[in-house]
Amino acid sequence: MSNLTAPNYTGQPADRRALGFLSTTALRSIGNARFLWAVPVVVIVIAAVVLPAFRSPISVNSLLATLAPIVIIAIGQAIVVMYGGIDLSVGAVAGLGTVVLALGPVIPGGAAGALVFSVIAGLVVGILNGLGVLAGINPLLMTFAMAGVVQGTALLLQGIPESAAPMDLIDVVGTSIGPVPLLAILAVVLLVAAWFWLSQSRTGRVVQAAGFDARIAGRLGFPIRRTTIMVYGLSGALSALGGLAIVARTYTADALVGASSVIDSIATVLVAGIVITGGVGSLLSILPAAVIIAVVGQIITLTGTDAYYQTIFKGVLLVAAMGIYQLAGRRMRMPWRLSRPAIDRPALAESTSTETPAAKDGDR
Amino acid sequence: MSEQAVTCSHVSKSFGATRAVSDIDFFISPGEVLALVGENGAGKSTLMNMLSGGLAPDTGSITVAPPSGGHGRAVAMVHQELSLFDNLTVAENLELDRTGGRSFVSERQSREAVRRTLDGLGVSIDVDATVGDLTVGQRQLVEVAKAIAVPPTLLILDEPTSSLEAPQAELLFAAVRRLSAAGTAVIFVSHRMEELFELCDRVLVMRDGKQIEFGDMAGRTRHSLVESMVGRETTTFYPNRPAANLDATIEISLDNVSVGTALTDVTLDFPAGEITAIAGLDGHGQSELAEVLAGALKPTVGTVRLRGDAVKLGSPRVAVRRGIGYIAPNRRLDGLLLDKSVSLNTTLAAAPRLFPTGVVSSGKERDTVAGVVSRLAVKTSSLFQPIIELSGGNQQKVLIGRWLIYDKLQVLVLNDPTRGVDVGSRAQIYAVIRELAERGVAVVLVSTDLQEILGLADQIYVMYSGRITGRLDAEGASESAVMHLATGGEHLV
Amino acid sequence: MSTDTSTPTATSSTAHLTAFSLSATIRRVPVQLWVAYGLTLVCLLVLGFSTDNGFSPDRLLRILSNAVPLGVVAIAQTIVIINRGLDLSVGPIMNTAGILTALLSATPGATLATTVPIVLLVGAAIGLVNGLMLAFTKIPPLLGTLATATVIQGIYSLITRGQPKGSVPAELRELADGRIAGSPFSGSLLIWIVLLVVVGLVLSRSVAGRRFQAVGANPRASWLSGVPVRSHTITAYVASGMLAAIAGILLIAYSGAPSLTAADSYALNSVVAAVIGGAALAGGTGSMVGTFAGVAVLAFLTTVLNSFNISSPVQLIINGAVLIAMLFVNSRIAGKRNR
Repeated sequence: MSNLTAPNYTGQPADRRALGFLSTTALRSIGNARFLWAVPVVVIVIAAVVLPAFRSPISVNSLLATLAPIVIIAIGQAIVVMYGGIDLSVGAVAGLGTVVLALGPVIPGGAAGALVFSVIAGLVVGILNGLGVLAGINPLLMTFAMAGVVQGTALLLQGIPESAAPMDLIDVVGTSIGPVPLLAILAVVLLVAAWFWLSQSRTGRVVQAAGFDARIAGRLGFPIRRTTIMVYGLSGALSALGGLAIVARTYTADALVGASSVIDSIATVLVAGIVITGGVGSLLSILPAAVIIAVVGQIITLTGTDAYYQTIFKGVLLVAAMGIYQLAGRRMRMPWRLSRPAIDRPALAESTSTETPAAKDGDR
Repeated sequence: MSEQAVTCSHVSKSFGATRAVSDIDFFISPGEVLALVGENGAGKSTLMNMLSGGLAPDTGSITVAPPSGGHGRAVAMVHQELSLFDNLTVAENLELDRTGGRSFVSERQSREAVRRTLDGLGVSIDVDATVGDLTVGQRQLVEVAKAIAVPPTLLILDEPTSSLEAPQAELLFAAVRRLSAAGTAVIFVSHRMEELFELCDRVLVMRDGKQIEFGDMAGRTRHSLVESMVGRETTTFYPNRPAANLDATIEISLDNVSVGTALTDVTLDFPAGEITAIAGLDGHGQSELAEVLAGALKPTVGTVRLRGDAVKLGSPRVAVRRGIGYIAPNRRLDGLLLDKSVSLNTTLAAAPRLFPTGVVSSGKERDTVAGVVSRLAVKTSSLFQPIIELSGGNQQKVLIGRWLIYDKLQVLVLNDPTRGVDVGSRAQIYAVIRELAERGVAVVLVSTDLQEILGLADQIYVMYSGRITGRLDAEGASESAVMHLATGGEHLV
Repeated sequence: MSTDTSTPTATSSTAHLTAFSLSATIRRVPVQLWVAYGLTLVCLLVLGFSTDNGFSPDRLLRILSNAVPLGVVAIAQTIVIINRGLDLSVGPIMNTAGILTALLSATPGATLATTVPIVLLVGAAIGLVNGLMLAFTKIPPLLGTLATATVIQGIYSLITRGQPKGSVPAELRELADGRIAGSPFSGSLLIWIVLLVVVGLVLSRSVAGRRFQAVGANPRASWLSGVPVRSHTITAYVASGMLAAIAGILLIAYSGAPSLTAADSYALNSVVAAVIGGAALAGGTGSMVGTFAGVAVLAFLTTVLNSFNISSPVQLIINGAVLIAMLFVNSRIAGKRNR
């Protein structure tokens, strides 16, 4: 990588850099998070040495099966957060996903059809979230309200008498290759794909840019409408998929199955170093972050410690995430103006001022 | 018979009741560099907005030929405010600008292309540098590179050298010359007259929205241009300047103050009752100087003294308590509470003094604010009107009023107080500033508007590159003397 | 020597500005308030006409009284939102207050007079931690208070080992159930109203309160004009912590037993109530009159739905949909004012 500390340095010709097919920012973000990758390794090693139960194939399988939904849902949350928003409906949508899956006996296409409908349901919810955000509703409130609607809907659907979790399908989907569940592999594949999409595709770049500074993005004419709907739609679809991953482990279709997913996904995203205000961070870091959360959870279960330690642990994690945030912020030189004036309306000057609305007015 | 690159035919534009631009009629041939000259508020921005397609004219038409290369934009504009994303690299920013192309970025090709563009500009900025790490000058160059990556028919440069150091500005001029030789038309807006004379073929002078002059640059002088821009004897516009008072007490002074690389070893005295101006090109440390006085910036070296006593202005709060008021340059971002009423905006600073019990008495508030409104002739429908609905000039008057009613005011620091303010409001603001000075306040006027400084100030300090290069008595000072010092020249006398 | 402060008082040309105008005052009321109170009125009417003793003030006040814990914590959230922040730790603070009150009340010799101040102090201390963190670092309130919330949850889960001990004193339960001097007002309702009035007056009538709103509207402009921005932020969160503690005490007054999770949903619900009442997450806007409306809407809407025996899932859907609708309306209004 070329010299990071001398911006005026005429480095090597641009194409001779290692891993030259990847964007510089993506590589830098991974580099910034390199310490993060060490933590799960250390924790796993310690756990494996100290707890023989941890090493058993059943335990490994269970760990990975728990990991899969956390990662899948966190991918969606990360994309939304990178875009400058947040999605509080991920848990409810996960629950909806499982309930729709159980509608196999009642809808055309049977269990397989229900699977497809499940993801579509998540997508639709996501699109509705996106529309609300476009209409000017704060994402925090919009997705929170939507969560209520979705949860209520899921609870209603759950009451349909003939619905039942499709055991055969779950058996297929939930298989493992050795100790590794299929869904865990899927989760990792999705993660890498999403990461690649975000850093190398044009739309992904727009997401990063608009997430960092929506004003400039608007000024430059980026396709904000399309992108917003896509980002929230993706989160919804991934949440539904995450719900299915949860079903594969628990074999129960339940509207409330994603209750802890909201906090889990936000914690994962924050620990992964993705800045809550948007535009900065690497999706790949979700993996070590999720592993940390899952492994500690596993340790707590295996050692029979009070489940309350989980809560404390999550608190500690969040505090650590804050520390990471401060560091990331320092690197990014976050300007004071990140807390922008509440309303910024350059266009207004042109319509109500009684004198020449110099474009310089107010902007330096 | 060559087609004109740009034709502007009897174009007018109004906003509500204001005529922003009226009957502008000119053309630019391919390869010509046109200087667009005019004071703040003359209509330049509106015209540029219409040319770049962001605004439609009310009457008349604007025609721009398609780019000769067959692809890319017809009009590319480099604004003063930068449209770069700090979280991405230079290459990624320029890549975002490219239209067409496949949905996945070919990283190597992209960086090669950007490298080539930067080389074409003669700029040696690393394409992999994160924009957030670049200096303002470097970012400005990247912004220019973005605009010319695919040569447009018309390139509009709005104060492009305001943040550039001399060698960077040279690069820019070289690039402009190359572009113009290759057939791109250029509109160049700058307050630095020498640049315009050096670079431009023709000139368009605007004043109060109207077209005053349009023709060749050759044969014109700086003096004639300034006259056309201003159009009147400057002295009648500004309040009369009283005779110099040699015994004035020094209200506030800076003693060997340095701030990082922005200010170096500044020692200045600001006498009570006088308007002391800080002149210079944009970005040479004036804002930092103003902020040090206001308590918004701590000097790394040196002291601030109030009447000789060293003080530590730890925050603007401390400064205000000591009688120093500050009007920041960017009123929308740093001055106004946009959604709040005229009343709240006016009483923001003085409230604890106006209402010592801590409870706001609505009667006194009404009277005080109404007094300010009448005193400064603020056009507002009600004291509770949200200030965002007022015009820029009236908003600025409210900001001045904020300090007018502060009884402890000893020093008032003004940073670019009439930017985006209409001519009528400016006159009123100047009158109030002079009155404040006459009452004994030490007024510090930081401004990039040279005419304003020459007309209003009693004495002028000129800055270049973070240092004071000289001091002039305003009486009899000339624009060229100031510009000489502002561009690094040594003090002559 | 100071400058002459007296600017000329209102001249005849500005007389129109100082004269009182009823229509102008009415026009100044934010549209969101009309919408919120309108919706409350609709709920009231539906309730009144669809049930037997529908309009009895006793019943209506009882509904409001049951909403008091939410009402008090909504005051806290409104304060913080005006400051451009968010306090997601109010739920856990409420739980803490309940647990602590019950715990302290079980110790011999404890009275409400000794217990309550301690609990309030704890709430204020947690608020202080929040305030200091958010005032001195760049951590966004969402993240910061979420972290505080989780840590607090962890602490009281650990300390109580899942079983909060102690008892709720009878006088406390009286606050919730009883009436004041034969009036239809319960003690807790009165407390809420008093808090609304006091906070409302401070926000609108005091120099500090006005400047507090200014800080939320534009922190930097306020800072440059000499307003102590950090102090205001810290105060906001301390107040929020204390009010959340009060809300927690009132909550166990109703429920009769401390709980580790009872108040978990209060954080987001308080945000909803504040926003319905016109507080903008972007800061600088919010009022007690509005927050009252926000809480009233939520309380009466739930009651209406309950009275029609609408099932819990459907209630969830309706609540969510109503919220989205109101948010949409609010954003349209804000958008229109920008034109």
